[in-house]
Amino acid sequence: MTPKLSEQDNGIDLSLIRACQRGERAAFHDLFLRFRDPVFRLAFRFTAQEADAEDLAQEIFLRVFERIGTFRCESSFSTWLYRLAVNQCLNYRRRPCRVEFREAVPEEPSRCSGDPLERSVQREQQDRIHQAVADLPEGLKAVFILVALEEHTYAEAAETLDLTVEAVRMRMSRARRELRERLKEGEMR
Amino acid sequence: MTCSECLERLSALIDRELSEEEVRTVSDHLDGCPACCREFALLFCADAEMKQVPVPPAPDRLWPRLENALPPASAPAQRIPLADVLTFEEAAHFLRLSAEELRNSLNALPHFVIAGQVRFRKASLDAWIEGQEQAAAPMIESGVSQATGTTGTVVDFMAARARMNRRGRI
Repeated sequence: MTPKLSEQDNGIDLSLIRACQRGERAAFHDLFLRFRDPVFRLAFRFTAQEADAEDLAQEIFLRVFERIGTFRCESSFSTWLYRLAVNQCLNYRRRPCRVEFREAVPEEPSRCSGDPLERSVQREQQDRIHQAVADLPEGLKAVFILVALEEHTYAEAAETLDLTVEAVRMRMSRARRELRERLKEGEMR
Repeated sequence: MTCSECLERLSALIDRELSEEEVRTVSDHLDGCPACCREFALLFCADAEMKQVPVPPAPDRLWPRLENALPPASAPAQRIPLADVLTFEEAAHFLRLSAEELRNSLNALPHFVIAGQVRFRKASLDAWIEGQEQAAAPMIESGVSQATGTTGTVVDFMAARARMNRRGRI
């Protein structure tokens, strides 16, 4: 798994942020390379579709480009970026009638089966999990993705989402119950 | 601890967000309650499975797409930065004068009029202040109180005041 956004803050140079704030393209490209994978991963978790995640990641970076001038270097850049990215994800509306062309998702060697049928079943199960997360109600989805999948602490998620730690705790509990029900329903179909 | 209290805490237990004391209490309950223990195992396994589901990498075409969508790069700015030209209010603030005092001294100060509005170039004001300081050096060195004496003019006083204010800011 690529590092989470907050880990990308380590070593991020304030001069890089400043250069982006001056509108320097080369600096923005460096910033993009640094945050491309975690931003795309976040977008994919919210949408469960590669094409949508690509559109959404592009929207997030465009928004970063427009808004980076408002970032005050007193706080963590990754928290600022996460907040912006999550808001974009929550506001994203999928384009209608989209045809999904899938690219191969790298699988962990230990989990990769040689049997095509087994691989297909495995792939279907993975899609079901991604879709179940993406279909969670918005208030639960953002919390679940940040905490369970992006490995934020409750305090970090609370700061990013402007919630209390107690609210994060309650939503995590509800999200887990809801996901279990959804995945159980899917298995029975 | 009741089953309901235990079930409420299972999610936070998985996320390692319980205090040591809470962990102990929940563990004690799980040890003696097969139903809650089964629920915990189900949640834990589902969580582990979800974390292991791979996510596709960002496609290489993302940057070219983004670059095309970015607004055109602006030419290197050669224009005077906005802060170099001051409005009437900004100039009054800069010189630490009231609007009335500035209006009364306008003829003595470098300024220009555009579209019926009085504007000041900050560099010109700086140069003007320097000139005033040199001309009135002995008086300024002895402080503002002397500048208000019979030998000082209003303009001298303003220069002294602006200079002292600027020193104060530094």
